[in-house]
Amino acid sequence: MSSIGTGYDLSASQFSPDGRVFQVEYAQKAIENSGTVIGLRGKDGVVLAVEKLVTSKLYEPGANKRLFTIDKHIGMAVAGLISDARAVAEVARTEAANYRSQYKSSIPLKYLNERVSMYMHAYTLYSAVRPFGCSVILSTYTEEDGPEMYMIDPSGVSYGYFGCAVGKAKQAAKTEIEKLKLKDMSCQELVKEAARIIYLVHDELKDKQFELEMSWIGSQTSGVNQQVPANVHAEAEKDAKAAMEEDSDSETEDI
Amino acid sequence: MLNISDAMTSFERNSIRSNDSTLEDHQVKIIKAPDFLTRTLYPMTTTASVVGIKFNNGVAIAADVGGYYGSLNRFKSLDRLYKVNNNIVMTTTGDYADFQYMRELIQQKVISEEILDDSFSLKAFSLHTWLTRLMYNRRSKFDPLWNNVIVAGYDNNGPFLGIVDKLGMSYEDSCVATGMGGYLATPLLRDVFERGKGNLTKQEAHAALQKCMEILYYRDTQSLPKVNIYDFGPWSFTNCFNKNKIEPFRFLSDELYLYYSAKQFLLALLYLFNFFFRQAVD
Repeated sequence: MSSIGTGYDLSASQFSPDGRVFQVEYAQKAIENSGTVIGLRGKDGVVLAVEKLVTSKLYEPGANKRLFTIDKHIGMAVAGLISDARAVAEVARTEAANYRSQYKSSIPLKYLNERVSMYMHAYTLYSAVRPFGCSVILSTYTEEDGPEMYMIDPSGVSYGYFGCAVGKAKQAAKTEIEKLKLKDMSCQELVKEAARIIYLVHDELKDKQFELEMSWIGSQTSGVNQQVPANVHAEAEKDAKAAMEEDSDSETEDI
Repeated sequence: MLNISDAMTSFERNSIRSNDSTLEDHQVKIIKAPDFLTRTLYPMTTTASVVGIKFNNGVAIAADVGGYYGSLNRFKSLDRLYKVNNNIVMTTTGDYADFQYMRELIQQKVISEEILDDSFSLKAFSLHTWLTRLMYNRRSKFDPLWNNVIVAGYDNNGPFLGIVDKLGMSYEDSCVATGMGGYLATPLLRDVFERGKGNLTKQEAHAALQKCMEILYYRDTQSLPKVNIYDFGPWSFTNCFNKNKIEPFRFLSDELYLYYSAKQFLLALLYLFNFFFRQAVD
């Protein structure tokens, strides 16, 4: 890398002569090492799915979850360093609780996104701290505004999305997501697509084991963030595996 | 509440004698130290008694819907039976604002617990203990929450009914009552409970609570004849417990209610008239 040895990457509070902040870029690199995380926003809800890489067989199943509930009506999926992500989740929960105590209503995602992204941004400004090595996707569903989804970057930048992907195979996942007609899809359909995409982009050779985590929020959960129920999850996973089989069969035929 | 730093500054300002023109040079103005911290000395909007009783496979509590400024019936539909989650209900007698404060604390507590997604949920008995700590803590700061709390619920260990007073004293019992109900309703409820050998039906429990609320309405000037009752019990074997909220219950028909209200109003007028008449005579 060109930056190495130039001395401009030692602090998050220093620009390089060509206007980059290397510490932030390194943080983004940290995310690219983690399992793929995708978020799909359909017509009646949002589905978040995570390819959680399991680095040891000795872990209990379901350890180190990457899907969080921030408030009853807000879900979060994280890619990157899990401990940084937990700190961000804690901040988000505190902000949501604060908003509730002040306004007696649940925080709109727009405001939560603003607060969390400003928090993350603050960690790119000082030499005494390092940026967060994680990127988070926030999801919600309300009667009034329908489904909403935001993704925040370690730099503190955030955008609203219809579909987003982050992590190892984000390019492949984005390509798959772009093929979907997200605006017409229901949560039930999105869960299947999400499972399929995660299985599709998973690299069998590099990472052997992974767990598929999925959560959804929408009109069918009455605006409450939930882990996808076991039976729906199992079916989506089964279909995803079947689709993979089919794929590899047709590939062998081609050869 | 008086802020300490404000009190200090005003105290110091008052003790500067030089620019106090009313004093001679040799005089010293002695100022009594202000009461640095004066805490809540009395409740504002208050609510009346709560009564609760266990029955064969559940628990029920009842409370009226009135809110009072002293003896003035200021609010007529305060719903103060707070359903904490699917197996707990809590309510208080005393200051309504303090109740609202506690309600918000508990609400956030329940949400914070729910979002951990670890399939644990708050139990009535845990909430009761927590509220005991809260109340004791506040009274130890000489700043009590001006409430007596009743917690009722149902879980795997069966029905729960507990009480915490504003000093943090707490206990569990099969019949509880707060406020005037502590004097008037407790003996009645205990009598019913013992006669039923602790094995009342839901209907009997409801009837007992309604009777208590009726008696309280006739004796307690700060209560209304409109009552909410909540009960909890096992609905099925799946540990799924249903709350059952009864519509506000009225002891009196609308006509009778109007009659009593009118009567009281006329009595009040008469009293006022008498008062002014006497003043005029004097």
